[in-house]
Amino acid sequence: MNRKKFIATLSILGIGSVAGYYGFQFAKTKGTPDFNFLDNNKDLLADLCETIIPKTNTPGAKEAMAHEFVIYSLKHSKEEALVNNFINGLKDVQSYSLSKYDKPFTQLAKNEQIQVVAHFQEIGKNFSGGLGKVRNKILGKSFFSILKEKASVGYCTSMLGAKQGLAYEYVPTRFIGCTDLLPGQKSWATK
Amino acid sequence: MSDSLNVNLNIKAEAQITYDAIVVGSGITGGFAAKELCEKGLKTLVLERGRNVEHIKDYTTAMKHPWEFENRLEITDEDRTTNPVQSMSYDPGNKHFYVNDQDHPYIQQKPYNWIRGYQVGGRSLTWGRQVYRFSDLDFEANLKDGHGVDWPIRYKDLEPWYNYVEQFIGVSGCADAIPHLPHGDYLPAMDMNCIEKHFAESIKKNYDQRWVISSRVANLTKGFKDRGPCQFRNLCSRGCPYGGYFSSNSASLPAANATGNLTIRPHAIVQEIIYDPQTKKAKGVRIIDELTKETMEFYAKIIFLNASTIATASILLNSKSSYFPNGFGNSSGQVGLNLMDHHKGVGATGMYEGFKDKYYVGRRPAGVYIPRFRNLNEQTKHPDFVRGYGYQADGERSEWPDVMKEDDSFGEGYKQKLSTPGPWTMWMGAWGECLPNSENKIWLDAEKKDKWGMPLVNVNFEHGANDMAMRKDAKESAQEMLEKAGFKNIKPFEFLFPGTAIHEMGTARMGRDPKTSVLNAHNQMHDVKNVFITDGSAMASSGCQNPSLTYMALTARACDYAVSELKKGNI
Repeated sequence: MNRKKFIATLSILGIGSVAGYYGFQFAKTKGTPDFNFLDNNKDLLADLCETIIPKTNTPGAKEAMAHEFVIYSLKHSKEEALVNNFINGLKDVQSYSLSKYDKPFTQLAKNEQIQVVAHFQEIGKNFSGGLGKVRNKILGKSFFSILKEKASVGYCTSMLGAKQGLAYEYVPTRFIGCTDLLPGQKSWATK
Repeated sequence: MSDSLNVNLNIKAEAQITYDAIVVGSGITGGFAAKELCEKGLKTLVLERGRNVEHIKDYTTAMKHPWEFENRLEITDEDRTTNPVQSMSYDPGNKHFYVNDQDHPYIQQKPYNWIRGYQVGGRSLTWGRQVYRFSDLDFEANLKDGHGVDWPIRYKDLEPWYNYVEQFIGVSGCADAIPHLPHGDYLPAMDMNCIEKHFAESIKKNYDQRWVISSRVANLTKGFKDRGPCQFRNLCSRGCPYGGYFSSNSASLPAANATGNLTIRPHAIVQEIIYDPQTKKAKGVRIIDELTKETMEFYAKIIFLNASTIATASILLNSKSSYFPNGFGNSSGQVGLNLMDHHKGVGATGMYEGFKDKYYVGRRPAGVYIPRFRNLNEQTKHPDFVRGYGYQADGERSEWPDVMKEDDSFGEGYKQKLSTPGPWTMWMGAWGECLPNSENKIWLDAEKKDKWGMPLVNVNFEHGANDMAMRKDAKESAQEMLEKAGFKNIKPFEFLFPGTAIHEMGTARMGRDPKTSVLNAHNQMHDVKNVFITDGSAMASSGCQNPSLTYMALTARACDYAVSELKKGNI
């Protein structure tokens, strides 16, 4: 988006309302993170990770305990906005599930869980161009992108994820630069 | 696999204070000096400011799986906050081989990352292991274009010592005939993968005097002197339990120890070198015990300073006396000046649409190398800069860390993409020569001190106009080379963090004239004949090649000279 277009977009949205919305959201990124909520809602987090990387013919994120890494990582983060965005996001998932399905997220059917996560993916999408940059700068990464990134790292570096979801060789002993890729061969877990 | 090193640790200083030789530092050059001096029959004391690290036994993370690290292989925000400099280089697997920034402060006049490893073995545990010889293109450069002072040696002086060092450390690589990148007798090169082979063929077809070769690395593709072979785990910087790469710990210190002549004194921070005005030689060194903060002295006939570039210059500057009011052996005033470090972090990446049915097995701890191709001769002269740069490059298929960032889906389809090899990609980044410049320098702070009472080091370093012009060309050339090889989605990159090449050099340079240099052609101090300096500080120019091999060749050569002079009674 060029500068002219960016300004035009701002005008359409109404500068005041954008600023007001961001001001409100910005306030929510401040303050001591509610780690109690994180600790008390491990099942919710585990199910969210599982929605990102579900069990198929190989284990999913829940079985691989990806959520334990997500919790560790957030508790050791000094990016207050990121942690608050994430914990607020968890709370929003909970209330959205209750208002839409009258059930907590953990009790939803698989396809309903997918719908909920898709909803949060949609609202977390970056606006393109300048406005997206402004949003990211003020508010930090969205709940969905934090969830996806951390669940992915947690899964791909877990024992089950690396050994079964991907291909892991502990001590390869040799390097072969160019081999045929076999049908169904998985990509390497480590570089 | 070699045996563990059971070194003769001199914890009780008073037990023995006099040796034939003292080596300050146990890193890649200190370890090599210790081996040479011990093998030549000298009772040698190695002073190391950090803890002992015993080969294999102290590689505590070497066999860990990714899931055995709490934060996996990611550094934490706490690392970024408490260790802002070192954490640019370490990960949870090798963090214990880096210093803590809080304990070891220094003053950055301009941003400069001084990355350090204070332990037996120093940074030889975590080094990049790429080993390229210098040639006369490098040794004659200062004389020809007038930057810095002329090297007092030429390639023919160092060639036998390159051979000698390579035959001890073990180098794998292609012995390609490249005039300005002379080769030795190597172990078999590591394979190129299919995208790298494709790239190499394209460069050969499209350019004169440009080569793409397998990296020359101090990793062993075959068993070598009871070490290795490399197991292709690509976890070298944790220390290798297989002895698959060269380090002081795996090779030179065990060789030194086998002579019975080696004593290592860990936790020994060298405070100063003691000058004897009667003999006009160094008498010994004074140390501070890292743990007890007691001072003590050790004496020897010859002293090798191998503390690493900035630390060596600091020791000299801190060793003031009425004879050397500006620092030990510093009548030239050159100690601490001319700090150089390669500039890196500039190049391009590209994606290739073919070879979808090909992959690789094993984790190669290396890549490919594109030697310097600018300013080799009139034909390759560049209008905007002197000297040149080489590229380190690497081809691979995109895997989960890439998919995670690039794909915006989730669920079963996303999982499928995570677990399937993606398109081939190529990354190429330049390592460029840095000109010697007396404004780039280190000095000791007059007031601020560390917790051992040692003055803090000031570092003033900035890449100059020549370096910056070179970077512009490196970025453009990388894109052009990828484009000619049929890559798509080519993206240039450029980020500059001075110091992160971890190739600092030049602060006690070699030269022909005692008025403008600190060391002579044998790395001997012009001012004090029984002191030799063979770490990076000796370098009169930086070349663009990874420098450790040259430091080691200079070390072996200087040890030979020093012992010969000692035997003749000249020092």
